[in-house]
Amino acid sequence: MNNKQEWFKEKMATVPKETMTEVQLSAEIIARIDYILKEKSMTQRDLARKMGRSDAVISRWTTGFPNLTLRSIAELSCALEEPLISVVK
Amino acid sequence: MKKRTTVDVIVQSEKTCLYSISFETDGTTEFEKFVLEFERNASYNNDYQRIIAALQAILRLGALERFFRPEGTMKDSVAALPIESGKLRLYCLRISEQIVILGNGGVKKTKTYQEDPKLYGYVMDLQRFERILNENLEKGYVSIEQKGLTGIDDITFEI
Repeated sequence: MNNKQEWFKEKMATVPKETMTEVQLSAEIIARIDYILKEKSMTQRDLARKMGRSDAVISRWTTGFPNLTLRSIAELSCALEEPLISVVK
Repeated sequence: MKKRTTVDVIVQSEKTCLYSISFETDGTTEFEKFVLEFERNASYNNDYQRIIAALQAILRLGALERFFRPEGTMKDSVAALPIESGKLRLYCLRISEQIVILGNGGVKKTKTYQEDPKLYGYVMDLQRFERILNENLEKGYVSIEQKGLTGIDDITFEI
């Protein structure tokens, strides 16, 4: 491992676990939405129309690392007709 | 005045390689400057931590286009990492799902980055670098491979 890689690892270690976990969960949901949209050959605009939401809202919910509410996850899941997350039983 | 520029690997995973550009003789990269400026800045600590966490997520999942917000023009790959309700921006070039080149960034206080000379400068640095990188790709001095850029370690770019 080179010096910069070591340096980056040190910087990552300073980020609270809760923040790491939250952003990771967000990224996994966005990656799942990305996969489903591609599988179903749907665009973000198709999704917005199906949900009766504006393009701007759907863009905010489906790009970057958003802090989605359970309600918005449920809305997205229903519109995509696929589960986005599951809870360990 | 042209800037002598080198490229360094910051960190590499199975999915993605994060590079950064350097204009300094000591090799300090633009991304390291960004970290040095914001890691102890209490006002933007939450934004900074979310950006580092986002980079970690990209290392684990790949640099999906959906993770980035295009910030430059139609002709370039300049993007920012959009973090929830944050003002801090880290600019980068998303070359592919496997390759991201990190630049510098700062606090967005104006409506567009073009209105802020500092942020505009960071974006322009990346735009200029991408133009030179593309020329080197065309000439075959540098190539894009599955796991990253090949030939980039040996080149000093003038941007």
